[in-house]
Amino acid sequence: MIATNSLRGGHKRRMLCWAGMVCALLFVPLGAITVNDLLAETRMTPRRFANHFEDFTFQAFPYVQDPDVFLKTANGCCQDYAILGSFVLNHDKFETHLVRVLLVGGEAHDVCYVTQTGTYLDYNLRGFFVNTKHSGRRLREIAAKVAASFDENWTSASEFTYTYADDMKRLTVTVVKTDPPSEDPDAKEGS
Amino acid sequence: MRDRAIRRVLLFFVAIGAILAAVALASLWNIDREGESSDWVNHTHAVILELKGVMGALDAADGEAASYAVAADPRFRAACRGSLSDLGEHLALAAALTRNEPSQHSQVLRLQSLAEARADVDRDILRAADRDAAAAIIRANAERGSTAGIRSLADALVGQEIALLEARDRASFVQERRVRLTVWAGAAIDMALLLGVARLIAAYARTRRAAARALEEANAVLETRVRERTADLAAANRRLTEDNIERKWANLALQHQLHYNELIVNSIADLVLVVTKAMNVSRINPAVVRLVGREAEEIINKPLSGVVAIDGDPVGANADPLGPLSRALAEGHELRDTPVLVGDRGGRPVRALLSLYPVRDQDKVVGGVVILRVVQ
Repeated sequence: MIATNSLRGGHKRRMLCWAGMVCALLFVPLGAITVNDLLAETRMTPRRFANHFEDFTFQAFPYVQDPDVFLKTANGCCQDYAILGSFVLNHDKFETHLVRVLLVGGEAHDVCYVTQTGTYLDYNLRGFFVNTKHSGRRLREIAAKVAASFDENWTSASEFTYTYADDMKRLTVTVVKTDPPSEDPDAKEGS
Repeated sequence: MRDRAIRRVLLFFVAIGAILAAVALASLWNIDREGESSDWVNHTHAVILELKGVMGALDAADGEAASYAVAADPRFRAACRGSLSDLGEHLALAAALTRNEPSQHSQVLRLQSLAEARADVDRDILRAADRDAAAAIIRANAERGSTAGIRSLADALVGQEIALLEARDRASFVQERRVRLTVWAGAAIDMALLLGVARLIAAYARTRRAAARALEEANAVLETRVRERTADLAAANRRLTEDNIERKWANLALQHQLHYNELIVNSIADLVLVVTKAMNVSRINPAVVRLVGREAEEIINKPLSGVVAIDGDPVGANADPLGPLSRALAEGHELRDTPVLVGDRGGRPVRALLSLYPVRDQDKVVGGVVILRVVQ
C-alpha cells in the first residue's frame, strides 16, 4: 500500500514538473532577441523569423530604426520588420525583395517577399500560426494582396533596396496600377 | 388556347430573364469601368501627393541643410539625409506614375533634374568640411536662385493633375449615371414585362373562369333536362303500372266471364256445336260427347256432316248433305228447328231439331252456332 502511494506521488511530481516547464515556455519572457541571435539561428525560414515577432507592438517612425533597438523595444513598424527580415533571410541565402505598396491617400506599407517560399513577411501578420502570406512574384500581385488586407485600393508598388550602413531607400522598380499589366517593368523582366 | 397562353407566358419570362442577364452583364461591365475610373482618380491623387511630397521633402532638406551649416548638429545632418531619401522616393514615384502620360512625364523629369540639382547642393553642404565651406556653398547657390522655379513647375504640374482629376471625376460620374440608368431601365422594362405577364395570366384566368361557368350552366341545363325526363319516365311507368293492373283485372274478369260462359254452355242439355264458315266443327259442349259417344278430338276440326244429317238423307249419302245449312250460313240468316238426325253412341239415328245462328265479326259471317235439341 505504501509502495503504491509513493509510486503515485512520483507520478504526480513528474506531471507537475512537465506542467511547470510547459508554463515556463508559454508564459515566461525569454529576454530580448538580438540581430546576432537571429543571424546565428540555424535553419532560419520566413516562418521561424516571423515567430519572433508575435508580441511586438506597432509604432510608426519616420526613419528606419536600428535593428537591435527595434528588437529590444519590440516596437516598430512595417519598414523595420521588412528590412530586418530581408537582412536576416539574405544572410541565410534566401532571395528577398523589399516591396513598398502605396495605398490611396498616400499611406505606404512595406513587406518583404521571399522568392523561395513564394510568401511575404508582413508586420500586420504576426500571429504564431499565420505569419506569412502566399503571393505571386509580381509586384502587382503582392500589391493587390496587401491592399486587400487593408480593404483599400493601391496606386503603385515599388521594389526598393536598403542597407543599414547606407541608411538610404532606393526605388528600383515601380508598378503603377493604372498601367496595363503587360507593361509592368517586372512583367518585362519575367518575360 | 391554353397552350398558346402558356407559350406566351414562357416567352415573357424568357424575355425578362434575358433582360435581367443583360442588365447584370452591363452592370458588371459598368462596375469594371467604374473601378477603372476610380483607379484613375486615385492615380491622379497619388501623383499630386507625390508632387507635393517632392516640394515638402525639398524644403525640409534645404532647411535641415541650412541648419546643419549653421549649427553643425549631426541630428540636422541625419534629418537632411532622411529628407533627401524621401525626395528621391517622391521623384521616382512621380516619374513612374506619369510614365504613360508623356506631357506630364517630361515635366516630371524636368522637375526631377531641377530637384536633384538642388539636392546635390544640400548633399554638398552635408559633405562640407566646416561651417565656412558650408556657408560658401549656400552663398554660391543663393546667387543661382531659390527653389521658386521648381515650385512653380511643381504647382503647374499639380494644376494639370487637378484638371485631369476633374476630367476623370466627370468620367466617373458619367459612368455612375450610366450604371444607374442601365439598372433602372432594365428594372423598368422587367416591371413592364411582369405587368404584361400578370395581365396575360389574369386574362387567361378570366377565360378559364368563363369557360368553367359556361360548363356549369350547361351541366345545370342538362341536369334539369335529365330530371324532367326522369320525372316523365317515372310518370309513364306509373301509368303503365296502373294500366297493367287494370288490364290484369280486365283479363281476370274476362277469364271469369269465359269460365262462366263455358259453364253456361256446358250446363245446357242441348247439343251445342260451333262451326266454321266451311261447316267444320270447331267447338262442342259435353252434351255432344255424351250423345254421340265420341271424344271431342274425333269431332272437332271434322265436317259437321259427320255428326248431323238432314232428316230424310242418310248421314254421308250426299256430296253436300248440309246444303241448306251451308246456304243459310253463307247468306247470313238463321235456321230454326230444322229436323235432323244425329248418330248416337250405339250408331242409332236420333231425331233432333237443329237451329243455326250465324256468328258475325264486324258484319262478316265467320261461322255459326248449331244447337241440336233431341226430339223424344
